[in-house]
Amino acid sequence: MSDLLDVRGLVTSFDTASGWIRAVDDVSLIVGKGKTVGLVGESGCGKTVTAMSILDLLEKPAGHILEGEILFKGEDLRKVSAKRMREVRGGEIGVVFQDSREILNPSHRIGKQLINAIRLHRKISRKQAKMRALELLDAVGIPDPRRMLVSFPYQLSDGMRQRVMIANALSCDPDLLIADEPAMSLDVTVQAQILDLIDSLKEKFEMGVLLITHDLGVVAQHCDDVVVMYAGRIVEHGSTRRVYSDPKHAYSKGLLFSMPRLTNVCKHYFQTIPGHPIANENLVSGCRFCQRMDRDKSVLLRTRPEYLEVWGDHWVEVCPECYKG
Amino acid sequence: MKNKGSDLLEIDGLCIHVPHRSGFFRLKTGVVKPVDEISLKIPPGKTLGLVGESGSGKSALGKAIVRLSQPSSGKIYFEGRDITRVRGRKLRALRKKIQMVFQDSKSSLNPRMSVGQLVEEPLRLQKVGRGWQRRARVAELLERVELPRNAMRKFPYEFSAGQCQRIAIARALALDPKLIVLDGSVSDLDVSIQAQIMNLLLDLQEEKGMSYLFMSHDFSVVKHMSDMVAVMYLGKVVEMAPAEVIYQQPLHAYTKAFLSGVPNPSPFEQQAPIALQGDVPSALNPPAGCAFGHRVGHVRYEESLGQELPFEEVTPGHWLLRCPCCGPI
Ligand SMILES: Nc1ncnc2c1ncn2[C@@H]1O[C@H](COP(=O)(O)OP(=O)(O)OP(=O)(O)O)[C@@H](O)[C@H]1O
Ligand SMILES: Nc1ncnc2c1ncn2[C@@H]1O[C@H](COP(=O)(O)OP(=O)(O)OP(=O)(O)O)[C@@H](O)[C@H]1O
Ligand SMILES: [Mg+2]
Ligand SMILES: [Mg+2]
Repeated sequence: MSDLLDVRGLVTSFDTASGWIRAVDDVSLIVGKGKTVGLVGESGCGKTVTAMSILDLLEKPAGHILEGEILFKGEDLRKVSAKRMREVRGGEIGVVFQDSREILNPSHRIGKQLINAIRLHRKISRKQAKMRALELLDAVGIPDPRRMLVSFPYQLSDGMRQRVMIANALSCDPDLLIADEPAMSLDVTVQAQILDLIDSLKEKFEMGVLLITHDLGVVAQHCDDVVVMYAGRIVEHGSTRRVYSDPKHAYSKGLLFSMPRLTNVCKHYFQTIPGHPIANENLVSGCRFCQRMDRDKSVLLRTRPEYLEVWGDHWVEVCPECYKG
Repeated sequence: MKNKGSDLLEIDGLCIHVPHRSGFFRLKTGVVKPVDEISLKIPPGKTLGLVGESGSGKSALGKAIVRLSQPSSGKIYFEGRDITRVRGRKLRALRKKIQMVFQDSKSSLNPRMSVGQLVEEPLRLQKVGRGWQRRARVAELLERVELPRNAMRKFPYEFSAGQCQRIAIARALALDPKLIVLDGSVSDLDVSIQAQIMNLLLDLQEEKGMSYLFMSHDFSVVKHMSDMVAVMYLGKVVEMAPAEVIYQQPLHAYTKAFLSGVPNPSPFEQQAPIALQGDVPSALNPPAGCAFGHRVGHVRYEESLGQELPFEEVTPGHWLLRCPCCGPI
């Protein structure tokens, strides 16, 4: 059986003032049915670009997919027609974006926007679509769905708006949900509710979920697998439990140790990831974490490290400096 | 003037009540209460962490402390002196001692000024030293916050969010203040950059003995930075205690709910966040009495309505907003 989403060797590049940059450089990841995969990494490492490449929403003409296959239910999304892509996006793949404020049209009522979105993908009457919208708003835990239909986006709190976005993403029973920082701008109490909501809907509808976040706590609680990305590449991936209990790559270790935890003692120094992130256009083709750590020139000139399966489905980029077996 | 003991900053029953007007005649239709009856203390050289959800009134409180806004009632004491209504020369002298780093440092830095000018500005406004002395001080400050030397001639847009945060910190440090109000300063940064900035802040505190008021909605970050923690909900401080204590023995239902929602970074421990009902009530005309009980569906919620709740010290150093539904009786 093939996986729900199987991205292989994705390379995405942008044409910028300082030349071509490979924002995503050979990324492969798999999201199975009913599984949640967390994509983590620092700001600018290419998480959003990965999602946008999958959805064919790259800023044209600057952004291009250069290589790779994006197999969704066995079909390569890079090869399908624009019409089919529109069907897939928002239909079979639901999307929750990083900033929901920009997606909802401020001058239309929520109901109108939801109903239009539903009817874009399904040939049903307005009335049926309205019923469906009410059902969805109820499913995402909105207390008074009827009133919500006639509200404008500005009348909603951030948490409510994010719920509406999730309702919107789920409107066509997607098989896959791509959620880019779905709860980042929200308060912890609301964030917990939204993520639990995604969890329960995932189980109910047997969706796969690609959850993009930089909160490692969120990944620990909600993801089956975790993919750690650094400077456009994946340095480590595996089941959340394996990677968290036994991170192999120096970057994943740094990331895990530097996160603030409630269990740490008060007023205490943080562990940090040494070095500074390197600007995109200056990245080497060898191990990029070595470059950050300012290691020897000779180390940097090496070729790109290979992947090694250290344990069942736990893969690491085996740079001799960053991975000590 | 009244002397209020040894604390660097003491706030006593501070309120910021803003009349809300609407309609054609701008009639007063209610009162917004971003800050309502808050009392706090910060000893010299210590950090008070202030946590609260978005809209709880942290920034409003911070702005009142640095005297960017005028409180409607209550008192602020700094070094034992009442500063609630100082103006003119005295206010300018005060600005040397209390500084604030804003939430969104990138947009709070004037984009038309170079980094050198930005960091020099407070020195210039306070007429400290001569030009060359000031420039030497700027170079020293930029080095202290670990920015590259050539940063001086660059502009804020050429820097990342983390670097802008450092510029803002350098600016706040320029006058060697006694108190820095840090408003959500690290929340939008990456873990690794966040960690660097917080280490820098801890170092600076050790070196110069400043006090911080550190505001954030991230409980784990606040724990890392603070000696004392105050939890804020809808304009009120509901609980305040030494940092270790508040994590180990939270008393107020809101503190417990908040703590339970902080994602646990261990995949081996299942977390069960306390489910809250409804949204945070609006700061416009908040009900007298407990504004939280209904969100945990407490049976004794109604008892608190209409009452003024007392903020009391339950055990030494542990303060609690007493109410019939949200805490131990
Ligand atoms: N339209 C664009 N043109 C040029 N470069 C771009 C464009 N969009 C993204 N990039 C570059 O691609 C890299 C990856 O960006 P991306 O938005 O995927 O980061 P991210 O991992 O989602 O970060 P964050 O956590 O901040 O959202 C960045 O270095 C960015 O500068
Ligand atoms: N001068 C004012 N007039 C009217 N309303 C105000 C005023 N200042 C603050 N408010 C309101 O008070 C509430 C508290 O705002 P504040 O910005 O202090 O929250 P915060 O705790 O800093 O939140 P965040 O974590 O999102 O920064 C908000 O609802 C805000 O709209
Ligand atoms: Mg992103
Ligand atoms: Mg604020």
